Amino acid sequence: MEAADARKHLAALIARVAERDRAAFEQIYKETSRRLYGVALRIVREPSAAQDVIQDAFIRLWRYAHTFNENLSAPETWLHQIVRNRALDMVTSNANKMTSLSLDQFSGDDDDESGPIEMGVSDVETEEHVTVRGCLSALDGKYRQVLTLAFNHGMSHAEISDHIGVPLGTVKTWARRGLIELKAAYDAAQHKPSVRNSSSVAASAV
Amino acid sequence: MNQEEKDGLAAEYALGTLRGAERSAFEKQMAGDQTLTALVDQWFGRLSVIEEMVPVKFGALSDAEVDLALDSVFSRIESVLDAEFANAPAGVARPSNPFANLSLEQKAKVRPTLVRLLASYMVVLERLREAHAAMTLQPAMAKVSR
Repeated sequence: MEAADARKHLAALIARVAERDRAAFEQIYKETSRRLYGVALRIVREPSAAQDVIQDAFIRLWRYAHTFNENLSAPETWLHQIVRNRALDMVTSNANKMTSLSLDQFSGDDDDESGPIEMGVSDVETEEHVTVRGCLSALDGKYRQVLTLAFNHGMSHAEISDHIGVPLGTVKTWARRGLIELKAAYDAAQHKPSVRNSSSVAASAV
Repeated sequence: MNQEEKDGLAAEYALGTLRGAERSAFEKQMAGDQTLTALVDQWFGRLSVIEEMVPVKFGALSDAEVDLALDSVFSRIESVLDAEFANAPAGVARPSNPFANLSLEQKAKVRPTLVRLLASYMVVLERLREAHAAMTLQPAMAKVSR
């Protein structure tokens, strides 16, 4: 399925859930729960806790589907955010218990400074994904590592500081610089005419 | 708050490093500011690529165990939703839409029956109006004839 079609399909399912359509709800669960479970697992690092996150998140989806606004949020992003927020809430409320759990078994190879630049692609690959991946790959390794630990594993600045053995202030600076540089690289890539655009301009000139 | 400050906070919120009271305050602000919601969504879209670059690992869990766990979670969710509906006070529960689970084809089949029902209802309503008008007219006519 093309990215735009997948987005429309998911948005239509959420709209049906807002109308209390249990079949649409089950369909969303079938299509997204596996991936979202992986997202939760990386953050809470414990299978039964991740299952609780998925349960809470889908109950929220059922209750708040009517608040989804397709003009403001992409549907997959909206769902993803519900799961991440529940997972972060759980990590925050069980801070001591969670941080004692190992990161290794769910982390893949994204936990070092070389960063996650060589692995897989999204199920629905868009031009934007390719652009962002390029921007992330171009980031300084230490910035990418901090962003990865925060985003993929739900670590706070303090937890990252403990994990990589760098002072807290430095971690905060690296996170901020990483975000600024990511945005600058993204904006620059957006303003650069793509190969596709330039070829279509050339074609229309002919 | 200027645009740059909004963007910085939206980025930290999406990254997950905005925590505790600051996170709650930002969420309250976001509820009343669509610009913030859109900025968070943009940042989330960019950062989620980090996640997609690394395949999901389920640790020691096999694919079958993951499927089993997710099936069990869905059963728990259904129980919660069923219980919520059953325990909802009268007048608060929103009745489920009986047409929600029908396909377009099934809805098309039901449509003529609904139109006929509506037409019958309109006819009955019109006859009741006529009967009511006749009843109120009779005493008035009787007075005039006297």
